[in-house]
Amino acid sequence: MSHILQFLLFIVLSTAGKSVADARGFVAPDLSAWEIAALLHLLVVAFGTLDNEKIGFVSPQFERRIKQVILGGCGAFLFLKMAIVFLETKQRVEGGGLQPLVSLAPSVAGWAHALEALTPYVIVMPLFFFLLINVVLLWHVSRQATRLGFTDAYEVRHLRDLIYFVDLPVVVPFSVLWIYLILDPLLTPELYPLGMGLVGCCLLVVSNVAAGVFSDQRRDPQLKIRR
Amino acid sequence: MSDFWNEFDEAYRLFSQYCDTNDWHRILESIAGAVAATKPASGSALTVLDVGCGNAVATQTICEQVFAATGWFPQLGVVEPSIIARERLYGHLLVSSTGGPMELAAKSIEAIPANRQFDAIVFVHSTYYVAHLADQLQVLVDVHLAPSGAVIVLALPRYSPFFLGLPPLPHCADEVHMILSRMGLRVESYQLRSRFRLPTQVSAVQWEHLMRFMAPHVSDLTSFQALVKQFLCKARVADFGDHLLVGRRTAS
Repeated sequence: MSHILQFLLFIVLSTAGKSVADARGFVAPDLSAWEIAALLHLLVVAFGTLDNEKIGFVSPQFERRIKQVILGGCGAFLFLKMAIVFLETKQRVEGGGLQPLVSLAPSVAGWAHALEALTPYVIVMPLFFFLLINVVLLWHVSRQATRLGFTDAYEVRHLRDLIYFVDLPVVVPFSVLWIYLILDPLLTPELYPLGMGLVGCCLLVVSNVAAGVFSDQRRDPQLKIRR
Repeated sequence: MSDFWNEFDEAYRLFSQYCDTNDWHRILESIAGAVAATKPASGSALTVLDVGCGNAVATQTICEQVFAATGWFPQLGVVEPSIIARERLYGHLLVSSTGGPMELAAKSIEAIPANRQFDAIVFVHSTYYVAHLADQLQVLVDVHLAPSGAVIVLALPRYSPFFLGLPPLPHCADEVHMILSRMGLRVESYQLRSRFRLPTQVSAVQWEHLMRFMAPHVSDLTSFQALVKQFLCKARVADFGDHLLVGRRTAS
């Protein structure tokens, strides 16, 4: 429940921010509040999970590195999204027209186009990123546990469950939908980024909440006092 | 001196009451797994040396788990400087003259006969109490480690919550890792869960025992209580995150 409340708090704050900006004449992209809230939530869930959990059997060096990669990745996604939102934000001008907030020099136009091409996909990148992270973790933990004679350690089962029940249920439907959107001849180009954004936001929020709940379950100590 | 070991033993036993029993048994199982992996290919008996075995309860469990995994009950040597602990260990381990596994009980590493070699040399939370650890490990590896053998060390990392942010004990996992690497051993490291839960009600005597074991240099009980609470999560649990190091000779 706390994970859903966290997300709701972020969405309220980001929507309020967007409304305030709008009142002052700055028009942010349609889904920007949702997307930033979802990515911020991702960062918070990742921080909470990494702060409280020690992953059994991993080598300490590997754990340090993977935690750096996760936090760096989450931060990069959020930064990328904010940069895109900033570039796509428009300012109202006299007469009701809209003009870009920043006008880029021709020398960086290539970069801006690259960012523009990435725009619909930033929100779904974390889904694939965490699938990859969990697969790498599963490989490492399985290898380490097997070296010590554990063929079916609960750490391995937990990671496998995380992949089966959190990562794949969001990545597979998205991939199918993506193929459908590409193949659908009636889809207008304007609808494509919006559709991707809406579906991506929903899947990312579901994935964050599910990952948080999974992590809480694992953290529940179920301690048994030594007799 | 005997008073010190008695008090230490009492404090340790109270502390271990609040440690997760499943985690502890998995730790011992992990050590047994690492020991079993050193089994010589020739099919001869597996030999294990436990340095700083205390009263040998853990040693006996490890041997039983090795037996369960390999079908071989290891031949055992132990090193334990405390006279009290050495007397107690006979209550847990059968000596070889009565058909048991224990062939050697030495009070120091120097007292091990020079011709004795072991497939696994094990330290279970005992490196902190060995003076001149690097030199002692060098002797063990040069003289007493079988060619395909391994040094297996269970130790806390320097940043473990066990130390409550105070200066850690000497020869923690990080330092041992460095020593073994410098000796040319290939070191694998594993982080294992080792959770501790503070009971809801702790009496003053229990607090004192815990303080004696976890932070003997802190004299003020109130400061100790504040430190402990600071390092526990909401469920009054801390994971000490023991490290298991396995150092093997690199193939030359």
